[in-house]
Amino acid sequence: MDQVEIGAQHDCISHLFEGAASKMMQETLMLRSGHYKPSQDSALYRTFLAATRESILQSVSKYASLYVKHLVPINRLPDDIFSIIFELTVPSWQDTWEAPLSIAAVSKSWRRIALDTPRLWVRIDSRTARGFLPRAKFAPLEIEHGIRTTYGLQKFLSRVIPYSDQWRLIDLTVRAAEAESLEHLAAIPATKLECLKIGPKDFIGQVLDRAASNNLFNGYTPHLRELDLNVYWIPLTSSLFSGLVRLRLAYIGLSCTSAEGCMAPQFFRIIHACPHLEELFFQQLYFYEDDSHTHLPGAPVHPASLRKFTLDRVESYLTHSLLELIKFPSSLCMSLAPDYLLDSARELHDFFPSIPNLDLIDSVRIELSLGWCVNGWDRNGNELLVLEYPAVLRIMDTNLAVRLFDSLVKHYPMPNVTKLSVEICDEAPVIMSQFASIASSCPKLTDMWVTNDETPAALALAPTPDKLVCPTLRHLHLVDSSISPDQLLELVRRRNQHPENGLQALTLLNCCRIGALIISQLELLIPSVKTRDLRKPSDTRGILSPGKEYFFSEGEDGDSVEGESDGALESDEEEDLEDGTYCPESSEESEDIEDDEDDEGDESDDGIMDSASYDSSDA
Amino acid sequence: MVNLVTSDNESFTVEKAVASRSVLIKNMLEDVGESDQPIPLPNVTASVLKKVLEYCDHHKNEPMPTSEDLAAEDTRKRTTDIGEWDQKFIQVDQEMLFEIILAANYLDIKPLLDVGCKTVANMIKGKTPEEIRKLFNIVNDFTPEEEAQIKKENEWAEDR
Repeated sequence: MDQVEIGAQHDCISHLFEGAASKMMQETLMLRSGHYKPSQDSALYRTFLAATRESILQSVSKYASLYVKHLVPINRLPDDIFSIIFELTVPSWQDTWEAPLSIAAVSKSWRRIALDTPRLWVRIDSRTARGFLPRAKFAPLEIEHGIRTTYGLQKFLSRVIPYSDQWRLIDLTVRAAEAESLEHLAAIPATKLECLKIGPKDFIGQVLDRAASNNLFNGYTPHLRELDLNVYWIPLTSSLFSGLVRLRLAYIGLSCTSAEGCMAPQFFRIIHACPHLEELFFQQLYFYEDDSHTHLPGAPVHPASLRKFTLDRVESYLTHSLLELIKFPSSLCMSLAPDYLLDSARELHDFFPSIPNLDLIDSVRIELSLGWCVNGWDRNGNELLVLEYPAVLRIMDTNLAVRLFDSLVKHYPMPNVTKLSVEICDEAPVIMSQFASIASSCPKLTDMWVTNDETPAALALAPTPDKLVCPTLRHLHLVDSSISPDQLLELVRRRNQHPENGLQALTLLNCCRIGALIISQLELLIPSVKTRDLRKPSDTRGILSPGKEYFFSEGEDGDSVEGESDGALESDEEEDLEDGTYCPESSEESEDIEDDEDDEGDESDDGIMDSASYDSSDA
Repeated sequence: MVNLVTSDNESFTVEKAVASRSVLIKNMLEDVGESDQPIPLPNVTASVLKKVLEYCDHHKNEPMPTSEDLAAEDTRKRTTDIGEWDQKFIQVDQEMLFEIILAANYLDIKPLLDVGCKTVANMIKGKTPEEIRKLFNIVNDFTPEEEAQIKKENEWAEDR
């Protein structure tokens, strides 16, 4: 398009020049032939010259600006690409309403394109409603009444309700005093609605019984896929609870009414009515009446698409029913949090009698430090289990850690775990027997990480010269451990006095008491000894929370040593073992280390040093 | 193998799987059938095509986006996240960046167009109009009256 304009300008200028030259030629010929009378025509002639010059200058100027515009690379993009780019800026802008206004204020062409891009103006809140709604034309709208707004809900709704059939998403934060305004949503059309979120503005962390409305949008939302209700609830019998992909209910107290019947069966009806459900999130749900006598469906439900399932301090009967009657897919991530605040005397398995898919867990991390949490991953690194405890429990029940270990060992067997990370702090009363029992409960365990071990509980891996806990263990990682040189040497000696069950690799990360002398002694006992100071500036992983990244990082810490019980080592590794040079790193990493050594540096890319290059000053 | 000829008359011979990342070329190959005839690409220069083919080669084994993918992306919130390799790939000067976008648009390589557009969007986001002008060397061609009018727009941003 612009190419044509430039061409046209060029032709115009040529024409003007030709016209002026032709006129001047004629004047000259007339002068020569004696017909020309300069005195009569000079004024007219000067006017003509001035007009021609002005016209030429204007054309040249226009041509030049067009040419310069084309020299600016971004101006080569067509309008439709600009529209795509402009739309992309909106979701990532911190204050989303600023993005369209900034873009529309850059230049005339940007403004024209911005105003012709309705999807740029679809984020509607109290600040943008008046200005953006007309510009959004018929594009699907995202309506938000946020927690920070001081604008009244009723006033806001009155402004956006005329456009309700364009709503794609509505996210309302509602004061208790404004709850009645939600009744305005009862009978309006919202046929394009995909996501509905209602939450409290004056939330105080309590379960409240606040009905949003007995009906919303006439119960007709054929495209609704995501429903997120926090504190405010609608009857579970509502047809909004069907066809959902994501359902989140939090801090809701529900009472049985004659219209609804009992609660637990309603949840199963909802799961049946949402065959493509991917996420179920229930947090702090309570029934005001005892529901435990109700009859539940006999056959289990099988939500095949379910990927994430969360039960966070949910009423006991519903928890038990859901865990019992849902057939969970194998790729599911289950997140559980017991309500110890309500009943600290109950054991973990009282809250969760069963946890599915434990046999698929390959790696486990037990954290009893800043947070109390158990995480499990499958062989591909997909998270399958999150078991979280409220932080306040550490103050309330110091014996809870011991009970947690006991429950894990007795009631939640994970027979296929090969990697285990235990992070403890000195406040966590984990005694050695618990530590040993958790390691022993994993018959295929080959790799173990022990972090913040100040007791140090790792000694429980070889409590006596004759007793060997977890004989399949091949690679021990001590992270931020205060273990003394004597204790470490004794631990390794005890484990490796049985060569067939001994450690093949030891990695010490930020073990401040272990110096170069000890390393050389350890090398005589273990084929591979690695050390690393986590605080090295070149270390990109050191300050990350320890645990998961050790399992699945690309670095050598993530590589496991295959246990003999698991079908033995790979052939190359076997050969290495035979000549006593076994090293658990991948070949690629070994090459890195060799390269680094060639480059006079002692460190590999990720900050790992092998024992040959260990600098005692780091210790 | 497929032979591609650029606007500056340079010839590139590439695997069919690589060239077929471009829906334009894929359709041409399907229409013409097996042929040794070179495919002219009059809107792409050699330097840009070389870069585009580098992208296509890296992603040649990935599934092509289906029309359902594109429709779903259309209705849902789009992010500006870019993969690690793509981020390094697209670290070029502005001139090349926009040429890649134009070539991806012309050749109909939707994922590459996405990477280019997201990169520009990321450059724009969080900036004031003046900063955007400076970044892309854009002239402010508003009249004072128009600027005043635009400033009034911010008055929409009421929260009363």
